[in-house]
Amino acid sequence: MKYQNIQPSEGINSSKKNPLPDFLVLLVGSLITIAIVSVFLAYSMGWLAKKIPFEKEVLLTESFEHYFDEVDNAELSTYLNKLVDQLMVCSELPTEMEIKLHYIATDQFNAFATLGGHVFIYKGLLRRLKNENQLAMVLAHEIGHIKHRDPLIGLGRGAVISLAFSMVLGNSPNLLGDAGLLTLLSFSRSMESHSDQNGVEALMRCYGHANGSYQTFELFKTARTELGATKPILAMFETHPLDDDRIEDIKYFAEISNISVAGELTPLPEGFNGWLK
Amino acid sequence: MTAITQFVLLVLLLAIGYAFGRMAEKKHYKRIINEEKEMNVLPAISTRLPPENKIYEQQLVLGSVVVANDYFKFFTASLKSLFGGRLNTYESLLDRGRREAVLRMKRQAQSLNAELVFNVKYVTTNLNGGQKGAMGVLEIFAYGTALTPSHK
Repeated sequence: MKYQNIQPSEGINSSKKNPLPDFLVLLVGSLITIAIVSVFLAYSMGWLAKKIPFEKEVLLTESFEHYFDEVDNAELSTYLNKLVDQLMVCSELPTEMEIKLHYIATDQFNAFATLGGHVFIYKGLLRRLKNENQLAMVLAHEIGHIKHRDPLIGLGRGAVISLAFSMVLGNSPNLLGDAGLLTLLSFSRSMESHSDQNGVEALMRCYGHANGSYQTFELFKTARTELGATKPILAMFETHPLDDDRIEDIKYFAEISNISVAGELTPLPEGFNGWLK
Repeated sequence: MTAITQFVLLVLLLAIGYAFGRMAEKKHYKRIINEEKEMNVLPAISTRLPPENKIYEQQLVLGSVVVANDYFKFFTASLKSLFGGRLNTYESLLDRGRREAVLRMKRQAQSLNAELVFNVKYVTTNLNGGQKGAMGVLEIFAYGTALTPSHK
């Protein structure tokens, strides 16, 4: 018997083909699949978020609440909380929802709503407001986000996107962490418009007119021009509709809903600016 | 880490994996094929029955290769595993590993002046400890019985 090894032909057990074209097809294919799945999931968040009870959303932020330093400012917080309570009623906020307002004594020109009904308002914004109606518009806008469950939808979308990324990048996802519980959740333009509409309606119910609603965004416009160079502090508003469009949209919405944008303005309480320390 | 840094890192890892992996693979195949041609004079076969025409000294010979995956192979394979199909990038890695292991085994046999290695077997072990998502490190191990003509 003769034993021998004969040189085997190549390309049977393995292919010598360049793997790059195959790789590109796979990459594009998976990106498309992931994109389709994420878009579907992201859109279904709007539907899904409304099925999640508000109390569960509150649980999400409970452990973070000790980070929210309460400013020792009794007069201001009494006033703001009273206004928020009125606006909650005027916004027809479902009774199980509760707004927790936090005042931040820094010069940022900003206000935002986040999970668990927490709304933050900065000194920089309060300082520029001309009357109570404008303040009410800002607050009712943020209450609108809470009412529409926008922070939860934003969180869900963030989680879906970070999941999609981690699928491609191959690392383990830290879903809620990446979506950012305390960071500013970005809302879509349609969310912003709906919240503006909530603001206009709430002003109508509380004050009998919506004077001050669109003027609030004129303040934003002025602030943006002034702060042109230091734009990043306004980053939050970059996803918002352009100021001019937004003002037009508010006027148009008021017109078709038969809400007057003229009426007597309520001044801010005496000494308001003094409270802002 | 931001998404952008992660993305840049990913592209970098892929490029390094592809460039070095591909270069090393080409070089390795060239060397394997040349050595195989030389080593074919010492056949390694898988039969369990030794030839009976002569008296032989019998000796265990082994060839072991530990080989790491590159990121490009890993990434391509994980994408492929979403859809299924032939994992070309792993096939060539294992093919090279097996052939190199046999060559090392044969070299050991050659040093014993053997004229045949029979009952050759292969074992492949994953060394990453079953960690999920970890890149593969493999040991490919070939062993057989070397037959050296007996002068006793």
